[in-house]
Amino acid sequence: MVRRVEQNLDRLWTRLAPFRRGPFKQDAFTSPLHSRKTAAILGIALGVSFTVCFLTGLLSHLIQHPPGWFLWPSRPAGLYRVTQGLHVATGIAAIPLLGAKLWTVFPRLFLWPPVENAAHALERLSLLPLVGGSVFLLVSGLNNIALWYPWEFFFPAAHYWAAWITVGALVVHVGAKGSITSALLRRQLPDPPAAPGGMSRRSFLASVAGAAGLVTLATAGQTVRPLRRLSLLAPRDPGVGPQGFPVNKTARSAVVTQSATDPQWRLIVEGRVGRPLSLSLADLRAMEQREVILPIACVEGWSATARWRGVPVQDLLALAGSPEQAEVTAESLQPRGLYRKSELNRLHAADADTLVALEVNGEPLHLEHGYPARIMGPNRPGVMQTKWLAKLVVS
Amino acid sequence: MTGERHVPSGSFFWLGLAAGWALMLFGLAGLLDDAARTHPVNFGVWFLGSALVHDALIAPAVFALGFAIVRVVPVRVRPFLRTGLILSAAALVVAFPTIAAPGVPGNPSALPRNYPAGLAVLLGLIWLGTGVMFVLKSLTVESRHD
Repeated sequence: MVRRVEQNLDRLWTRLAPFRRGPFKQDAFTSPLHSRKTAAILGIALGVSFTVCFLTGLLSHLIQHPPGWFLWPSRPAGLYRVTQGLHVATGIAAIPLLGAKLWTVFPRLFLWPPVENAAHALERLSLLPLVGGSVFLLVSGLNNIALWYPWEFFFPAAHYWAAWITVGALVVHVGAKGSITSALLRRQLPDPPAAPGGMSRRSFLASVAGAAGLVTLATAGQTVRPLRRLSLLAPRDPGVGPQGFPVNKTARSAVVTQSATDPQWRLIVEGRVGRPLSLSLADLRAMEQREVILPIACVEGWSATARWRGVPVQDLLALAGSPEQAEVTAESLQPRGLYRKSELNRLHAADADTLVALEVNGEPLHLEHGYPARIMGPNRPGVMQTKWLAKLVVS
Repeated sequence: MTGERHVPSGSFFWLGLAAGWALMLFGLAGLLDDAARTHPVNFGVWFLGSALVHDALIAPAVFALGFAIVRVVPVRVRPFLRTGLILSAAALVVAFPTIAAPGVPGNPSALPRNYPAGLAVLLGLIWLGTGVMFVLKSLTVESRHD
């Protein structure tokens, strides 16, 4: 049965042979750079960068939507800054790598015969989600860091599920190409001489590596502060914003301008506590203050370190008589939105450096940074450093 | 790449195929299950559109440029031109959203720079560097001829 199908396929391609024109022709693409070896080297580089992107992205997803078995620690304080900075930087560096890889293998799109057997058909079919997914992930991610959403879907959800689809297609691809890739890389093939005026493989790969380095330098300053003057294309500057660092959600878009500046504002501590609390800003300021130096590390890959001052969450829990190992939900004044609440797991709630912050860099919090009070703790994504704090619910 | 065949086979391939399709189906199921946020139809347009726009528009344009270079540009200039174009293309793609994005009203800390100027500086540096490399290479080649 399988053999019959294959024979029929053979007959079909023979009959279609006269239509084998344009890019389908035997020697339509002449550059020796379209070689398997070039494709293998670029494939390894892309495989490594996509793996880094997938793992760091998955980690960020787990931190924000923790399943029961996942407990994200509060230490080391700067870990999330590194993993998420890496996620975005690696994705940006992968852009020229993917471009070069697609250019190298493009002639194979016009392979003749197009399909030889079932395995070949399944392998080639899996290239559609691989190419579509890879381009989709890099384009949507790049747009997201510029806060540009020219589509209907919610970026984090679409980017997340697209990552699973793409990684699945990548696993198929590695299964199909793994043995030939390792064989090609082990063989010490000499760099084939470039055609006159052509580019050698070495200078092609060096140019692509140079392009990856260039776009990394041009953007990494949004999280690596010493590079900020060099990073001409970074969508954020860690030194620009109210009180000297950037803002993601503004008070106006969160609709908290009135409630946050209301003198009647109170911080409520309730839930599984012995004594529910209702504290004014003056009450909070009268408590013992703690000062910590912590980065604010955004999911979009930028980060900025600041000096925060306020009341440790731990002290408030003790004052309210909450049990040991408590978990806390921090709620914002924000009336709506997916990020109006965040969870402090037991490690974050018990960390002495997790603050209800009232000041930053020696001044009361700017309204854009969460006045009158915000959560600021070690090793948390920026979206979980809840601004315009209204309530701590202990559970 | 002509004449090279590689039809996949072997247990490693079939194992990868099974695992990979399982992951893809997991992703697809998750996507459909979360339809209120993922808008599967719009997602599909962007996802498949990404492959289509690349294969039908971007790649042919790049190859057309490649063929044009071979026709028009002197042999000794070509490698440098190609390096300059690879670097410029990367800079253009990464700069594109920063220039095309509308920005966020009321949030001057988002996209705070003058990106067209930044891109111009980068392109200037790229082509200055490529030009210097070309001149240096020409000089060494000439001195070898002396």
